[in-house]
Amino acid sequence: MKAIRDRQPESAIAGVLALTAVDADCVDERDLASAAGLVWFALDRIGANASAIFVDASARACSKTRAILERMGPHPESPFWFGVRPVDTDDGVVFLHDYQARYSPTIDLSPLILRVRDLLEDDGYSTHVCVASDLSDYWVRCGDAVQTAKAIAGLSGTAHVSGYPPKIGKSRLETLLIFISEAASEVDAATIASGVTPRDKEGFCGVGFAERDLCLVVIARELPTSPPSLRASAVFTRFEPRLRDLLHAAAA
Amino acid sequence: MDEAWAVAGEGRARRGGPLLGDSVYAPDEERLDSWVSSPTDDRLRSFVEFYAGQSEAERRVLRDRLTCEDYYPLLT
Repeated sequence: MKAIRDRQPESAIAGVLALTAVDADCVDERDLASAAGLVWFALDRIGANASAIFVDASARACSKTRAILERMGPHPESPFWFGVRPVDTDDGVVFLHDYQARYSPTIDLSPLILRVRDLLEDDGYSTHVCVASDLSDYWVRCGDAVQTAKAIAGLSGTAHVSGYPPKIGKSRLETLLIFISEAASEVDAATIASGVTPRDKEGFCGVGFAERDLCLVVIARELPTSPPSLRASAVFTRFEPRLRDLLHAAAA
Repeated sequence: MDEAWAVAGEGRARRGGPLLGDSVYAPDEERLDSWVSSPTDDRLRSFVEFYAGQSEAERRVLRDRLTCEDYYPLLT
């Protein structure tokens, strides 16, 4: 990330050299390949000769690590293969976890889900952001099941953020899930939003709203041990106006 | 090797312990979905440049001294 942001290859070259010090027999090879894929991507992104740099650096590695790095060289593997997706933001490139579900929305949902992430983090939550994820019908069980299933099947893309609030006293951490999806139509988006299960005996509460063909679904756990500030109703009250504003701006 | 210890851990690494000493990333510094600069980058870069400049035999010795605790900062 530093190499891409600086538009200078030195950090990425140091990254390749760092990998040559790693003995592939002592780590999960996938970790080594993932790191190599990201470094390759960075070099390629800034126009450096990634293949030559990998071949030159890998001569310093042990035989097994060298084989992995040389395999990367002539056949660069996209970071998508390692479960992350590069996303350009106003603050430079970042990588988001990619669940590799269908993802072909007409507007990129990444900037929107990152704004939602920022909103949660400003409130003290830790977060985990994913794109190309799924909106499960588990969360959308009200309304006409056939129409809901059709609307979910027609989604062109979903991104979501998981939020983990700071622990308060002895209260257990609870997860907040916020999905943003692009539906095939305004009707489908509204169908999903209105079908979000408001309260469930299994302990979650949900709310959904739609703006044009975008829908946003918020799921919050609500347990008897939750302090008032973390009760779902309080969470919805706190976040809903700002989430609606974000969705409205994205759909405009 | 003494130089390697000095370069890698600025004297903090213990013999028999991780070669890179306390050159670990904080959780926020490991995030891929946002960027924060880390002083660990500079410490690891010093070690990497030293490692890369050694002979094959010296690199092998250095690799043998690295532990699993050292590998993950290098992979990060």
